[in-house]
Amino acid sequence: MAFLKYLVALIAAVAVEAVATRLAPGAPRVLDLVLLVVVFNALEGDPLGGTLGGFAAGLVHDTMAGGLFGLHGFANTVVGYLVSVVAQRFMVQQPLPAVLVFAIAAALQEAILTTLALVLFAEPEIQPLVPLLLKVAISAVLGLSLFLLRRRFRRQQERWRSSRGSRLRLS
Amino acid sequence: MRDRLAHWLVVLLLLGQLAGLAIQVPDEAWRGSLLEQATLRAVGPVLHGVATVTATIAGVGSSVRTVSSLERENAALKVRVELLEQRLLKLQGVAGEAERLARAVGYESPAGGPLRVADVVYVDHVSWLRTLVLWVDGHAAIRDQAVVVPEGLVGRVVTSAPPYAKVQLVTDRAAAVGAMIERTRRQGIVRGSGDGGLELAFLPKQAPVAVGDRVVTSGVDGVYPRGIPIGVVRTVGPGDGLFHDIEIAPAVDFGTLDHVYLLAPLATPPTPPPAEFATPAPDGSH
Repeated sequence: MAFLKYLVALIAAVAVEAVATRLAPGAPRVLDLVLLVVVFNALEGDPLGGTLGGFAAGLVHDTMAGGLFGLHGFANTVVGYLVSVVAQRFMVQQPLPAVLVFAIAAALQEAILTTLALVLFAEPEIQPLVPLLLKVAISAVLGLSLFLLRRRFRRQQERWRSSRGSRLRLS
Repeated sequence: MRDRLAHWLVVLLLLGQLAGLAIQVPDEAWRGSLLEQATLRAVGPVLHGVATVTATIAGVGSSVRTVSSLERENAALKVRVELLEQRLLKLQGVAGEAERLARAVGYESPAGGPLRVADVVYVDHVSWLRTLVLWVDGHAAIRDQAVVVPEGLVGRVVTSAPPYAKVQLVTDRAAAVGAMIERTRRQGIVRGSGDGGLELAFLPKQAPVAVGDRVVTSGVDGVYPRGIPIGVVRTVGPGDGLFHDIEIAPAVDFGTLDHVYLLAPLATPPTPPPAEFATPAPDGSH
């Protein structure tokens, strides 16, 4: 079930990114929905799921990207693993820690991509700072919004389940 | 146990990916691996679906038009057809003449196969991803197949996973195209400049070049046939060493691509350029 949810989220992220690219060609520079899916998945606190999720999402991102195949795969594997380890050891299911996790994850991904570019390419293309900062900010804000939405949805689901349980007991 | 497995898995995955990246850098033949083809096949339908839906929505909007706008468009198209017919006649004359001259000197040009149309299902030309995903109906696209539009060169196929293909845009920093200034036939190499533009490298300072010069493919790389427009010289700087610092405005507006053409691969190896046109090596030697 968790795998299916993840798959649906990944497909939705790819579809929204494809639409965003058509509407605003510069969108992929500052918007990385695939990374948000990786972080959401890793926030569950399962390092195995976080690692595999990051790896799969990274390869999907690489398919849509030019350059070497595996750059995003590597970066997102690291992000998925580290976020899941952090989520396992610390309380990150609150808005403030969550927003920090989204921002740090975006910054970490960019840092890994830049390091790989510096190591692998003779003439690496270093991204300007402003779009990078914008990407970190957008990831944090968008991540927090989706996080709050998900929390609300889960609470409603729990309320619905408990009310359904009490109705069943009454009958 | 599960956590331990995850620790080992992350190490394995990272080492595997590092090895995969490392072997792609020196040898491009490693690009388009089975894994990349598999993910392209998986992601392709999503991108194709999005492209189809957005095209349908755009089509609904454009189909609601007034009769007067259609009449205006029809008149403009008639004028355009007339102009193109005149140009075609001229070109047929030139082609016949070139053929006669080629026969006289025993020159055989590389066979130009039929063009195949392909739908663009994803294009990202602004961010550093710079890629194009195509949906190719019928026969599969072939690796290194040149991709063009009527305005000029788009790029080449780097991964083929039928019916999808991934294209490296000519503006990609890793792309390199054998090119020449059309006016002077001076050869150099066109590369992506990193900001969505192009630069012409290895054109010696003694070679004449001016803003507005057309740059076309030279055909020496064995991938792109000769004479495909790449762009126009935008700026010419003094450069650091032996070569000009030349910026080129691409001939193609990558933001408006909805379909492209795949050129048949070059059947014969490209003819070597005459000695007087040979590009000097970066150290200045010929």
